[in-house]
Amino acid sequence: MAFGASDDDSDEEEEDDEEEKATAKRSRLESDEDDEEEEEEDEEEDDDDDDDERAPKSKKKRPKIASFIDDQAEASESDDDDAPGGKSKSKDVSREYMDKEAEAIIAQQERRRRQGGGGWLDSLGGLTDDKERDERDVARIAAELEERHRMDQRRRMVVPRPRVSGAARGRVVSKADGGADVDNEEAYDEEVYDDEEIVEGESAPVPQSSLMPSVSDPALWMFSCPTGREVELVYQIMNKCVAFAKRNRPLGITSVLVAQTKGKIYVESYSEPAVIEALQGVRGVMMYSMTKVPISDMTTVMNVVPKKVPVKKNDWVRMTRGHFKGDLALVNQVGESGLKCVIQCVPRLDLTLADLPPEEAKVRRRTVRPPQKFFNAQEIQSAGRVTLLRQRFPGLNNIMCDYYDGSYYHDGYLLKEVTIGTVVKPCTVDDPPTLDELQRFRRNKASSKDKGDYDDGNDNEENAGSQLAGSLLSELSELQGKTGLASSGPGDRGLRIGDTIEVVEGDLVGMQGKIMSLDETTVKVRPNNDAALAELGGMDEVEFLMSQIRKFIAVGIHVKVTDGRYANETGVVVAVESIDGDAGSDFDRTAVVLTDMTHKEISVRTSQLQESAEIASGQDTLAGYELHDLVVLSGGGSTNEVGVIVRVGREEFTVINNHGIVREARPEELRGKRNKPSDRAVALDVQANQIRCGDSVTIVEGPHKGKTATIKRMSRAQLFLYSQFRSENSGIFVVRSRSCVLTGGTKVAKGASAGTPRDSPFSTPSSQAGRGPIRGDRDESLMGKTVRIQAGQWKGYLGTVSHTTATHVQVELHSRLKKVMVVKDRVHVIGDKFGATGETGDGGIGVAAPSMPFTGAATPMHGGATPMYGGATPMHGGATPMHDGYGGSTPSHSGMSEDIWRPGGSIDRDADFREDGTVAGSGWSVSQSDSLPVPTNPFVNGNDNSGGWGVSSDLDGSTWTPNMGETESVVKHDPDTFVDLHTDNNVMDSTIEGTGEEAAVWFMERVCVQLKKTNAQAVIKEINGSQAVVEFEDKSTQTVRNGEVTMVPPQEHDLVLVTGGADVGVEGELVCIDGTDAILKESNENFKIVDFVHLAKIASG
Amino acid sequence: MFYVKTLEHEIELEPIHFGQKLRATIVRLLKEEVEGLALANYGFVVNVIEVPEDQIRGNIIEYDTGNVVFFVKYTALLLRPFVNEVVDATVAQCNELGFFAYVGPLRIFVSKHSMPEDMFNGFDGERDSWVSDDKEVVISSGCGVRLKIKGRTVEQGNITAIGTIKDNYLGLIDDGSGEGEGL
Repeated sequence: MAFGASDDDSDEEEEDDEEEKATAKRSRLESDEDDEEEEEEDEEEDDDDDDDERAPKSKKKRPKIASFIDDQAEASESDDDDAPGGKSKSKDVSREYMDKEAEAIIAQQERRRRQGGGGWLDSLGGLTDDKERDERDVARIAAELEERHRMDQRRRMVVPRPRVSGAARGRVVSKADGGADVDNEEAYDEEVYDDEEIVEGESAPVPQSSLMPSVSDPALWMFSCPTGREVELVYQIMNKCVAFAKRNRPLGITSVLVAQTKGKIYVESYSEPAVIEALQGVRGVMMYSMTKVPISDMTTVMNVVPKKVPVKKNDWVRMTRGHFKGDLALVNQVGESGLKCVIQCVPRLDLTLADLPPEEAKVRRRTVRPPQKFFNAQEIQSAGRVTLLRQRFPGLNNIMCDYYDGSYYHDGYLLKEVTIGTVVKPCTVDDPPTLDELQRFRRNKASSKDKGDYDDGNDNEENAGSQLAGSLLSELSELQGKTGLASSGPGDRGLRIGDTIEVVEGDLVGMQGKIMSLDETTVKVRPNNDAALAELGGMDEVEFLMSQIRKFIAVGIHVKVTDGRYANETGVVVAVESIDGDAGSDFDRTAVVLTDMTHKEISVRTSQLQESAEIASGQDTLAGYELHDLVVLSGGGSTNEVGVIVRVGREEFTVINNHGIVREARPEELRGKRNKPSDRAVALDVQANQIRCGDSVTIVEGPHKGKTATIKRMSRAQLFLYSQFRSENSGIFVVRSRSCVLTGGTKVAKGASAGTPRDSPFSTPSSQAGRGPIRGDRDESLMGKTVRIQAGQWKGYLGTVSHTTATHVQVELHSRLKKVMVVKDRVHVIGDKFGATGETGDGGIGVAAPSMPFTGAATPMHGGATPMYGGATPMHGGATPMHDGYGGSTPSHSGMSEDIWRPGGSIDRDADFREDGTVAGSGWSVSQSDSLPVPTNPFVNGNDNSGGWGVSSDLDGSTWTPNMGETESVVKHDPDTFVDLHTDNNVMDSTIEGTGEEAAVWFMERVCVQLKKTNAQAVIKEINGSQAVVEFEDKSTQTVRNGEVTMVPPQEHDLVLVTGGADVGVEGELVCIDGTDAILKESNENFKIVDFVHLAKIASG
Repeated sequence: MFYVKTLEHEIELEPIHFGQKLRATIVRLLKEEVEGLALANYGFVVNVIEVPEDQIRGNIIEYDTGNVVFFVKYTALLLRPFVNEVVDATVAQCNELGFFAYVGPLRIFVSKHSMPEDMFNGFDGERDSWVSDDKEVVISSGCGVRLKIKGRTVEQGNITAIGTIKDNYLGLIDDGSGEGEGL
């Protein structure tokens, strides 16, 4: 305004103003010097002149402020109003800044007051020259701007303490207005009450956090004083402060204030001695109570507690006690004192209470919170309760109520007289009645009428409270409808720049395009296809109304859900459907999205979708666990329960355990991950191939038969397979390793995998020495060996292998009390268990690669023994007894069976046993090839075509089941039997192949056998290598091969021969069978307990 | 759709391969690395047809590793799915949400929403197949279907697609029995 009005003539004037301003500035800067007083005086005069000249303008401005301030004053607490020296106080407040700048101004103010007195305003009337006034305005505004800028910093520091800042504000205003504003005095008076508003009005918003006091701000001290004298004391101190300042001995305090706390005043200062000095001699202040207010509490001092708004009729309140806690209530009437009111709320009646014995009722009343339900007199009466009384509510004479159980009910609502502030609290702005609450509060008159309620004479009228709730409800819902409209309306339909849209209205209906820009109502769209572009005649952007377009989500695109229940899910759109019968469906259609993570279909509104290439893995981790982690579960009762996480929820996991059971587990229930062991683990499939994590397998039996999946995790013999075709459990399912067969590219591992069992014969000695059964998936050959670690952290260390896996060995270091896991390739065998290193030299081959000895050994094995030994050197030392063993007992193998192949009772699981079985079979074959005179070896063929093992295993697998069937159930569960049978199978295998033969342990004379073909029973009379002459019951004889017969399981009272175990060779009568043990009676009447599996039925005589 | 296209690939070789069989190694490694891969813009590399030896460009030996990066140009047979392309695919698996079908390496999912209306509720869990209401059409694994690709998802090294059989002339074309129904 002023700038606009200034013309050329005013330039000069402006310059003058500039000068003035400069002077003012200087004066402020130098005002600490006493001799500035003079100059100040001058300036003051000038300022006053200015003021005089500007008076009309200022007057114009005044009413606004005044009215504002009046309003504020009204709103603010009246306490201050009745303070007698409001004006003086405010003036004093302005004195509190003891910095030089402030001092100057204080002096200025002081002078002005003296000078102007009450009538100085009047003197302003004379100046009416508009032009001059405008010019003054220009100058004033310029000065104002500059000052404002300068004060900014200070203001920021001061604002959090309103009163203080008020004082500051007073000053700010005065300076901003050019140092001597007409408004100054009046403004002071009023600003004290509402400084904050003015601050806000004048300065740009400042972040609250930056307003917090810091260490660089003055500290605050608290003093106690008699209650009621706080304000008085503050004035006293203020006056003292002013007086001292005048004497140029400013007290070093920045403010003194009284807050809402009773009996406390606060002094703000940079230094403690200054505070003490300031309060010295002020009566009433208890000096000893001086306490420094911690910085963090400084804002609390100034917190303004809102005055309790008196509760009025028809106010919404909230109950704070008992069952009703939190319930919404409506004030029906306020008591005369204003302390109590009658409220109306939805009752929470528990009708069952009356039926219960008093004790139980007492407990129930305390514990059970009945649901909100309107009071229904009929219901009560029909339930045979005490007759209801119709009474008037005391105090509300015009209302007839039902009286039940000590409470009054009217129109279904409970009426209750309660204390305001304790039993009910008014609903604050922060906590308004919600829609839901209102809905519950509102009583549908129709429904109440149906129930045949007392009509109370206002049958057709809804209860007033209910009406009120209804109106508020409709108001709210309208409000919400608006916002809802906004969210679903054109303003926000999830449209963003870059979205593909489809035109649904107008000439270009059906056109698709990309949003180039959008505002409230219109969008600019660039058509997607060139044809449309061409049609538009060179326009590459078309403007549409929001209502004309809708977001286009094409089937097949990859999307992300941006909002709603499925927010942040991603997936592929498989279908887009319009919502039936929904008018809004034009704009909002439903897309069916196949999610990436869970392979589920979700229905999402297209407005909530955003095309995106992002693939959400959902909630990935929770408490350190991720999807598809193998975890140990607890709390399921079983100790060895493990599972794979198939879903990570917000607070819990869904886990599929090793039995394939899916359950929820909280993070606390998980006892760590087992991913690493799982990755290292190796299992055997049905063909005895080694399978590991990441391998692809086909399931050959069970419910998942025929499916192909990838091994995600494995735990013992349970495989957690992942198939992307499966939707449930995020594709994870559990299958036993023996139900799978390895497929896919890793088939090359077959030879190697077959090699593992074949390694086993060599490794038996070590297991014999240290361990029980051999697990097929481990290379035991290293067990107990002294090795040197060749690489890694422990390079050069010697140690003993204490544990092996398929890929790693655990080495117990000689020099440290420590066991370390080392990759197998990184150890070099330098000796046996005792550290002897003699054999390493001629062996030449370390056991570095587990498959190496095998491949080395495989070929020569058929030719001659030496190379094999070469290959197997490390193990050979220990193997010697084995060779001895069967060298002497070719037909029976009893010794060997006992020494080597007795897995013992420790194998309790099928899978293990099977592994062992395989091992056993191969072990036999290999051994046989050495010791039997038969020139042809079954494995010559097998090894040459390298599938031989597979074939053999296949047969092994296929003949397996029938054999089990033939065996008696007692026997079936005994692992040893299986071994024997298995051996038998192997015999049979070789027989069928026709390339060699091999006998079962029981394949001896006098043993009763059964022909597989005819099931005829016979007794072996004579054995010729792999063939035997058997004699049938009818004394006819036949020559059979060992594979064609099976042993007849002995029964009680049969004559049996012990074919294995410690009592091999013993004959006797089977007295009884006890589980796996059998009790024999020898011919010399001795009783022996023998493993049943070692028994073979023999013919007597 | 199948394409033949000349592409370039980088192969890093360790010094151990430098020798007489270098080119053979490069070709072998190229095939290993590239075949079966889905290139985002070109589709699946079905087969490396030709690797012109004169198109193999070497580079300097890297200072710290001794490796050399070779730039190899090769001609490859590519399979690239196009939206709205109609392909014949073999059903691999059915589940309650639809079925998966394969065109060579390309996996296409056909949701039940993309099936004719009379099959929408036709999942037979026992047989793992989708059956139309009149029991005429049975889509189970091994069947041949003609479908239209509706969308593609390109991931790292893989492309999957969403298809539909809800259109004229789409759907079952071979019941997997080998007899060949045709259309």
